Formats: sequence, structure tokens, C-alpha cells
Amino acid sequence: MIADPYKVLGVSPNASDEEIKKAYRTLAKKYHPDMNPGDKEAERKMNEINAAYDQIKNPQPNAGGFGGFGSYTRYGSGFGGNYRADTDEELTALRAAMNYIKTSHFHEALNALSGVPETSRSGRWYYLSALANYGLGNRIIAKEHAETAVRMDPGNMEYRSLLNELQQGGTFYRSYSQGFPASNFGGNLCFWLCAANFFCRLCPCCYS
Amino acid sequence: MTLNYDMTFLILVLNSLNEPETVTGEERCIIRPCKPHSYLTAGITDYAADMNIALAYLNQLDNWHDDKNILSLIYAGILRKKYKEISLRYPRQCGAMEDCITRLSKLEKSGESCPDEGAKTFGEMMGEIFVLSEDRWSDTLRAMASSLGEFIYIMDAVLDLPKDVKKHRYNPLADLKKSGRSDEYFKEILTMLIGNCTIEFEKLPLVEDVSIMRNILCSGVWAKYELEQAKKARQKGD
Repeated sequence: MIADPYKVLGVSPNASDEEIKKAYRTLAKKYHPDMNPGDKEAERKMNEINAAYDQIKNPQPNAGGFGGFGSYTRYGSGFGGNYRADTDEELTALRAAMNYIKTSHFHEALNALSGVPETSRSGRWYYLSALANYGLGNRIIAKEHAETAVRMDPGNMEYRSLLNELQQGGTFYRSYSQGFPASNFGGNLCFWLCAANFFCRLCPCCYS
Repeated sequence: MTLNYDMTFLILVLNSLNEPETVTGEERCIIRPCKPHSYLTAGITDYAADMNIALAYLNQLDNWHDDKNILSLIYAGILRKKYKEISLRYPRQCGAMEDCITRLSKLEKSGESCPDEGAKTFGEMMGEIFVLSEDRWSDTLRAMASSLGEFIYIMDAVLDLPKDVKKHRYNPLADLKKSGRSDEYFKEILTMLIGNCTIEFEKLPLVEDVSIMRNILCSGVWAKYELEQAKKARQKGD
């Protein structure tokens, strides 16, 4: 961790996204190892700049990719105490699934879950299924099952928190795309036609 | 499969990532500052064109295998030699394309009801195409392009859904539609997928042309969808 990543990039902590990216590019150009062959100090500086940029751009440390599934430990600790399964079979299946999820064996988790008949699937079942699907990158089914879990058990914050995480992309996008004329394709259509025309010249045939 | 605008986006992203920087009168880029910039720009446009041809070839070949469409065989024949060259130059990308197109074809034949399977496979292919060479940004590029691919795949499925249902053709969203999902539901899924893409996109240190790229992500990617929605609204109004 760098104490002040903004200082490393030479920008103020309330710098805009653009300023940060520009500052990063300028410094990366200056200290790039290819520009400073054999210079240990430049190499160290470059690593520091990279780390600072990553720290600003990915505030959660070690979050791998979008959402960072590694954060699953935030969920699922409260088995037992606050949860009662309807049947022993279900409880066994859900426990097994949870253990598989904790060790990132998502296929096995889904397998264990599939043993519970559809009619006796609880909110917990859908929650665990959402987690396992999320781990496998099945975003659509994960969202679907997280929504079902929340619907079946609206008071459960764990379920809500997972659903929020799954919807992070959509939430981000809605504010991100504000100000862009999403429903006004007029101006863009022109751009697309130009682009399509440009590529038709590169490509000897058209796709179906 | 229409990939024209995605290839435009590919060129814009890779060019911007390799943005030319003027250092003591010479043009240099950030990833390989030792190489002159003009070479790289041309390289990226050629690369996108190569990927386009490779996809066209594999797509036509797949059409021939599936439908025994003779025109597809002819097209594939024209592109075969060029494809061989490209696959020697970019074995990772072409390998992924061959693998993913085969898998997509299998999913279609088996009538896979989970839309994630196809979306992930198509995303994987896009991820490999967007990574020209492995470097510090490849993971982010891969994640961004995978989400974009997932979006494109589901968008295609949404747009084809009415036709596919009518003609009893495979559509990855058919089961969800049958269970009563609304247009709004599908739009929400699409928003989530393109949202994941934009999150990764914004992690890249892109400065040049960034407003064009944002415009594509926020508006351009919806162009066909909006056109269809407008058509639907008009039909309802009649």
C-alpha cells in the first residue's frame, strides 16, 4: 500500500478521472524501463506509479477483476444460528454447497444444490446458487437467483448485499451514461454507417 | 454476427492505449516507447482487419457445416489462404476463435437453455481478440472485452427473439421469454453486462479519443436496440 497514491502521481486527491489518467501517462512515459534501460531507480519509480494508479482505480486491495469474488467471506458466515432448513436433506445439501463455494469449487456447489427438489428450495438455496453462479461468471442466472432469494426473504441483508454487488455494473452504468442520448440514435447512426463503410472496405465479404 | 462496430472500438481502444507521445521530437508510445508510433498504429488497424477476416472465415465455415450453404463454402474458400496466414501470425487469438465458435455451435445444437453459457463463450472470444499482446493491461482488457462480448451476444439474442420464436429457431433467451420475462427485464440484463464492461474500461488509462469511446459504450451500442424499440412502438401505435 502506498500512503498517498495521489502524491505519487503528482495530482491532488480531488483530481478528476481525466487528470489522473493524464498524469499517469506522462509519468509512465518518463520512467518506462524501455526509455531508461538498466536504470534501477526508474524501474522502482515505474512500479510505484503503476501501484499508485491501481490503488486509485481499484480501491479494494487485491480485488481480482470486477466485483472481486474473493470477497465472498463477507457472506455466508451466519449459517446455523439464524437459519433453519426445512429438512435435514436440504440442510446437508446447503452446508455442502457453502463449503464448496468457500473453496471456489463452484461446479461442485451447483451439483450439491441440484439435489434439492425445486418445490422445496428456500431463499437460502437461491442465495447459494447465486453465489456459485457468480463464481462461475454466470451473471444472468446469478442475478436471477439473487433476486429470487431477496424476494423470498426480503429482510435478509446478506442476500441484498449480494444482489447489490451483482447489480453494481448496472448501477454504475445508469449514472455513467447520463447525458448521453441513449434513445436518440439519429446522430450516432451516421457514425455507425461511416464505421460500417470503413470496415466493409477492409473486409472482402459481409457477415450474415 | 456483426462485428464491424466492435472492430472500430477495438482499434480505438488499442490505439488510445498505445497513444503516441512526442518525446524529443520523436513519436513514441507508452507500451513500447522504443518503437516508432506510426508502425504501431498501422499495426493495430491491420490487426483488426486480420481479426475481422479470421472471424468471417470461421463464421462462413461454421455456416457451411451447419446449413450446407454453398455460398458460405465459396466465401470460406476465398478466405482460406488468408486465414492460414493470420492463424500463423496470431495462434492464440485464432485458436480461441476456432474453439469458441465450435462451442457456440454445440450449445445451439443442444438447445442450451442457460443464456450465460453462450454469452461467456462469446465473451471469452472477444477477450482474446482484444489482447494484442500480453502486458500490464491485458487482464483489464480481457475483462472489459469479455463483458462487451457477453453484451453483444445477449443483445443479438434480444433482437432476434421475436423472429426466432416464430420460426422455432434456437435462441438463448427463449426459455426466459417463455417464463414470462418482459422487455424491461432483458434491458436490465443488457445494462448490467455493458455496465460491467464500462467499469473495466474506466480502469484503463485512456485519454485520446476517450469521448468517442464513451459515446460508443453509452449510446452507440444501443443504436440497433433503440431502432427496434422505436419500430415496436410505432407498430403498437398503428
